[in-house]
Amino acid sequence: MADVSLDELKKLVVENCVLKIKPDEIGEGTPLFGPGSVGLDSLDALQLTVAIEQQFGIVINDAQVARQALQSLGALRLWLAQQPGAGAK
Amino acid sequence: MSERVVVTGVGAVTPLGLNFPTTWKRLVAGEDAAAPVTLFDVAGCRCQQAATAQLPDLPELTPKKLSRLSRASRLALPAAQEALANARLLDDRGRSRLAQLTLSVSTTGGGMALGEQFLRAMLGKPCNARQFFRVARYQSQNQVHDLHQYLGFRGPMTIVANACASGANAIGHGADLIRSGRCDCVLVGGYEALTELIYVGFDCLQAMSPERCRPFDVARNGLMLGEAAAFAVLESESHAHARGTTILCELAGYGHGTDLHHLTQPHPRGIAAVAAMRQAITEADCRAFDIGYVNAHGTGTPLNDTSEGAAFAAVFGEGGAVPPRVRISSTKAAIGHTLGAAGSIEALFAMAALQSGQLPPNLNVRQPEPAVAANLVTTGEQRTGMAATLTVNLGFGGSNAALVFKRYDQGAVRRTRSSGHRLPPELAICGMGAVLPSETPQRMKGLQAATGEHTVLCVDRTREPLATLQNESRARRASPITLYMLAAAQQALAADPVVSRDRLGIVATFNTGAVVATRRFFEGVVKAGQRFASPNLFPETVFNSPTSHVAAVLGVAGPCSSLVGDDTAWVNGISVAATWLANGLVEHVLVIGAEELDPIAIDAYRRAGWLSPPARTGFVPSEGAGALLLGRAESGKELRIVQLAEGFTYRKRSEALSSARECLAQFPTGVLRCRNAPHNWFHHIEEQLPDGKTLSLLYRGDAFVASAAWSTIDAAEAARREGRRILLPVWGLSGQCSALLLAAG
Repeated sequence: MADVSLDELKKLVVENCVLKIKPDEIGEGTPLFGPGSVGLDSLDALQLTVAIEQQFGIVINDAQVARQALQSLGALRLWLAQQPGAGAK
Repeated sequence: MSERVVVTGVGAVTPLGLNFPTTWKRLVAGEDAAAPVTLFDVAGCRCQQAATAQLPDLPELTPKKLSRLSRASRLALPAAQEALANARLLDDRGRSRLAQLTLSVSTTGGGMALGEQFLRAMLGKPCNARQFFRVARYQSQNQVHDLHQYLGFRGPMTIVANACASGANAIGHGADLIRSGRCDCVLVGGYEALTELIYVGFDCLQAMSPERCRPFDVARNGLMLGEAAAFAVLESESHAHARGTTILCELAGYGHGTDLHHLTQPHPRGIAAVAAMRQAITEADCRAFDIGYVNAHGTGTPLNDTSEGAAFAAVFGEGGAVPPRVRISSTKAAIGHTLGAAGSIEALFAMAALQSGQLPPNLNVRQPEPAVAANLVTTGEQRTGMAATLTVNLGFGGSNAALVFKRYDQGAVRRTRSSGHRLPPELAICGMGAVLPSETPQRMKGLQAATGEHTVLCVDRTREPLATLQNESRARRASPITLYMLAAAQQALAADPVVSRDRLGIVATFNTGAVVATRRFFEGVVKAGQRFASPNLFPETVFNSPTSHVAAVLGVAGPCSSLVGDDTAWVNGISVAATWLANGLVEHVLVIGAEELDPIAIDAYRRAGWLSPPARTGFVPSEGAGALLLGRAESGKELRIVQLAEGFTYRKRSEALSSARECLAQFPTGVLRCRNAPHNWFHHIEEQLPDGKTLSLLYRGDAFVASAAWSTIDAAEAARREGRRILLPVWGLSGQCSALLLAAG
């Protein structure tokens, strides 16, 4: 699919996960989950899969795929770019 | 020695039957009620099935009266009626033989289907006052009023909303009331009707199985929702003997605790479930060895069943495998997860197993979870001569509860934790805290222009300590009510820094609860579709989520309960705290009353005419929280609650004055009485009450239970200042009057 900007993904994460930080505080490689991360949890992971489907029309059904795609914003951007046949809605 | 608590009647409406005997017969035969959902549209959901109940006929009600009942009441009424009839407490006209009957019930959604209709209408096209009065009937106290009205009794009521553990909590609280000498007979139970909001919520959490619910199967992939109502009559042994009624079994033990691990996930080792089961077994004066059958929570979700399996190993296997003689089953594959009713219906199953020796099977297992592989009940299994059975429930927000039922043995002598305890005659107020709205009325952000000149009293969340508390990790997604509760609780605790968190309990009370999260969640469903419902928001719509957040931040892993109702739920909360203190469960209890405002609620009040004009109606919507830290009064000199009265209900406006007089007659004469009625409607009643010296309290708008909490704090401070006893009536808009008597010195 068409390239998604990092800024767009930062906004998506901050808004959907109700983070109290500014979008620019999340780096491309900052882990989203686990130690030293943005501090997201399993509910946020579900929220992000819903948001990604709503915004980009891409369904994430597999938990293993979700874990890999949601490691960081960089990983998510790369994963989105590899998905065929969908685009921003 | 405290009296034993016995069960004398049961009744249920479930997806497997219109009454309990039919349900039980089909359950032990291995039937299930899984079917496609037809009650509402689920086209946008990932899952499509549930266990739906058939509604029993209520021939004694006219079609008009029937049409006014919520689905929740249609389930609860016949189940409660059956329990009372089973206990021989119904007369020939189907009315309760006991005109005063204490009620302890549970639900998570109440009549939420009515609330959904209203929200959908408000988010789409404007609705009229008639629609508003329909939505007003969704709140849980209305189903209780339906029980009162159609079964002909009144009395104190407690409505527990501890998510999936609520049903066990409601039964346990009923037993606590009898053990502490508060009453001799309690109708206990739970009810839950399937609704779109809750169904879509579990669907978006991907907690439901798209195929078959398989509790304790290694390949399980989710739960199945269901609906049901289940009730039981609890009595003191002497009360049951005096009536000459049949005793079904003894409710011997109750344990409850809070899992602080995560809002929706249990601790992997099930430590709160372990604590609740051990507490229930200890209170029952038996050993884990004596438990022959366990009705497990067993939702069929990967995390729940693993956690519960570990908890069973800890309690019954002392860390090793659970011995095969302990038979275990989850009945949720058969009747679904009935949320607020689950603890009650599963308690009835544990009782029936004890009585009959028949065991309900754990359905749909192909490869069992190793921790319970040797224990899962198969269809047709029987086990006679069991001494005791146990039921356990693990809920959202970490609410965990367990009950132990024993075969009734008239000659047995028991020692219990609560032996000899009676209600503490007085409750010490060890600390007080309040989060108040700004004194200046303001327009609410997001309020539609249609509200015109009407104003509300909002909390300024940019001020300390609220601004800092917003950074708490548990507050990140939470509705604003969590911040109010937390700030009020911390302020109350600061007055007594030596209070042990290990011996502290929390009782939170709400009228509308987390209405901001609820509106935002459903708005998303209506606007974006079921498929895009928010997993982050749904858990925050559950009544006990704010309580869970407060418990987690304060580190309180002991008993925590959320109660709902009108303003008088505040007094119910103090009453529950008194019971915990009486039974020695904790040394201190934080009782919190809190509400939050949302534009949609304000619009509803406006459409109902409550805001127009405010000077005439006396109604200014408000928000915030109040908290009391309560302990046992030791010296008789400290600031304290000397007496309380609750549950003086009325059905018609014309009965309100006599109900209020009856309530206040419970107290000594000559005390200073507060005038704090929130609405002009109650001012008329106050003016007609007996003459005497009165004290007017400051009006800070109408925030239901939070207003009741603020009035209590004001009255307590006045008692300290004036050195007199002060009587505080608490008026409930749904038709109740309760009161507190405060003193200092």
